[in-house]
Amino acid sequence: MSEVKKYENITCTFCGALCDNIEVEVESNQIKKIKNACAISRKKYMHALQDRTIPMLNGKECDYDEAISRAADILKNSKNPLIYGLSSTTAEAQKTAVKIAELSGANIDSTSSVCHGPGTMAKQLVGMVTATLGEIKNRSDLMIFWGANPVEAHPNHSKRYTMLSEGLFKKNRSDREVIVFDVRKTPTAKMADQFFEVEPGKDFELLMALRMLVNGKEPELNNNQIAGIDIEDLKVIAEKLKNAKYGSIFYGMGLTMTGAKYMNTWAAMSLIRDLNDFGRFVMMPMRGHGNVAGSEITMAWQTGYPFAVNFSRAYPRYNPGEYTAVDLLANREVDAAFIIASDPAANLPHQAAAYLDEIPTIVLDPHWNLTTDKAEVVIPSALKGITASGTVYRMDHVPLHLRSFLEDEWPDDAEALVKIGELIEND
Amino acid sequence: MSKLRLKLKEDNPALIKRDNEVIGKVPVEAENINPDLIKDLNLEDLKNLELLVGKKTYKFKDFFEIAGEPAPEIEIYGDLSNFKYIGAAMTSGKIIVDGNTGMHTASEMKGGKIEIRGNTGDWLGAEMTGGFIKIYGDAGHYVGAAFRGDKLGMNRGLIYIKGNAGNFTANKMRRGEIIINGNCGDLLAAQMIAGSVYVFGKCGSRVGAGMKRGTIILSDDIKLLPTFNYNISYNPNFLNTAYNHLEDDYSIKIPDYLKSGNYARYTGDNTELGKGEILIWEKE
Repeated sequence: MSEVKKYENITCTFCGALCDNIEVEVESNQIKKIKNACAISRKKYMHALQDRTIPMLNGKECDYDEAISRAADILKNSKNPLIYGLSSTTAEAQKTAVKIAELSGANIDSTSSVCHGPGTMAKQLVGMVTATLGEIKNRSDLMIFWGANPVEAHPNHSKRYTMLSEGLFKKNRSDREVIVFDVRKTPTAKMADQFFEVEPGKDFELLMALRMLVNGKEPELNNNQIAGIDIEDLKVIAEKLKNAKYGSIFYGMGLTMTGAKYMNTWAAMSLIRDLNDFGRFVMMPMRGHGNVAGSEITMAWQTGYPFAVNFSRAYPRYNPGEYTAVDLLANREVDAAFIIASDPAANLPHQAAAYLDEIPTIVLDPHWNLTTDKAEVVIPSALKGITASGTVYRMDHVPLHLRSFLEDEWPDDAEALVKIGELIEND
Repeated sequence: MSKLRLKLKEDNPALIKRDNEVIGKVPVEAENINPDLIKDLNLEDLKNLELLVGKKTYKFKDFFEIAGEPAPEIEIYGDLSNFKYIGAAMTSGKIIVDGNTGMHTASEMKGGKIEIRGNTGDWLGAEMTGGFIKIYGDAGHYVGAAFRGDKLGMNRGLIYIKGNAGNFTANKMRRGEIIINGNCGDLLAAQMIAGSVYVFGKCGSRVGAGMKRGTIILSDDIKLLPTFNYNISYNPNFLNTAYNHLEDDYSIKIPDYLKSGNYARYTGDNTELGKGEILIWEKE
């Protein structure tokens, strides 16, 4: 009988909360038991070794090296390629992807552009006061969730870092006040002390009115309501914000992708800036994919810009709306696409995703997905955090190291990308 | 006076083809379509002027049938909707495009005139510091705006759009005039610093969000942000002077009804300086 091996403190890479307390039991290169994982994470580990990709060229199985060299050829011979994805791979692979973008004069964009990208653009306008999750857990006495629903999307987040966590100075739920702003009563809202139902798409008006109230001014009213919330309630909220010793706002796509787009987050960040005159206030995006925060950090460190970077002039240029994947694909401006650890066919607007059918598309992914069906070249890879090691960044920009605890027949993303880079460079 | 005429070749290197069928177009960076540069060239040098297609470099002769001679006046025929930076940073001369153009048309323009007899892309006249832009069709987003990361948008000059404009028009605008005959998207004049914007059609939501100073003149009533407060209903004297200046100096047709009647004046954005004004024409 084969030996059962136990691994502790494994990092789950499903969401941006990156829980690093998972325990697994392994027997015959199979996961037998998982502890401390949330429902989403459990499913991820259970299905990790199924539906694995194999090297494919035009729908036919091929050698791994053949797929790699075809990928290099496509990137080399295209005039305006796109490299997209990156949010579910390691920082090492992201770094190499930026190098390939530079070598092949490509546009490089991460899934940030369809998720928290607008928040990052707002950050560039006004700056963001932020903290690590540890600091928030230990000190925050007022927590606000705005357009975010961690109970369903980041199930262990509240237990490990926020509402229910046991901090140094804030011990439990009763030490913290929780307010939720959302368009419907989410499970997170049910856990809150107060829930405010915001009129859909009116977050900007609400935040601007709060800014005025916090600064002692009266907003102009039509029917004593702003975004569906009574002005008297808003005044109470403004007082609460001012009186908080250490407030924190966690925001999700309900803020970044609605109404005034990046100006929503700009308004929220400006409010936070104003609130720091009274006490400490911080904010943090509830990042979705495991290493999507890392994609912004790595790109910013390599190119100076967080996403939507173009290398056609050999130096990096940045412009969301021009060099973002959705725009490039929907406007039919790219002649090849390299998708790394992402599934745009399932997530991007139809018009953009459909164009992947028409151009040579390379997919580097450990699992079959809708995009691999559209791909000319499929390159398999190892599973980060399970069969591959590397570095990932948590939503508060804390880097965590991943350990591999199973064996894999395929190299990881970083190795595949290094090979492709070498083929382009050596040509 | 002599003119240079360029006609876009139907088959050009920017086309993305699959089985001989055109499926897309790679953007062409055409900042070399600039009268300052072209007027002093001889025909041979003009033919070899560079155009960047994605990461590959091509020449004018690969794209255009060239007629006339290099001159400060350039006429271009064809659908140039994938051509970026046409007339960017030009200081003098004239460009007429009989067709559409792409992003960054006349961005950072300093002087001269550009006329597009079709639609144009985003960032039209972004960060321009002088000159006259006239668009017969629609413009994209960020007309006269500041580029990402920059503090000041358009600073002097005039943009006249006969059709509609997109979102974030006059974003961070510093000085100059933008006149939109049609409708305008959301967040008109967001974070505006100064300047004047006129919209004769309908206007999207959140006008003047975060504006510091500047004037926005609207002909259609809209719901303003809670950060703007109502001042007065009056007929501002300066407006007729402004309308006359637009009609006399730039031949811009102002709707007659706007020349009389009262305007409701609002000021804001009160989270910022609060010195911006929005004037909304009152129907009654």
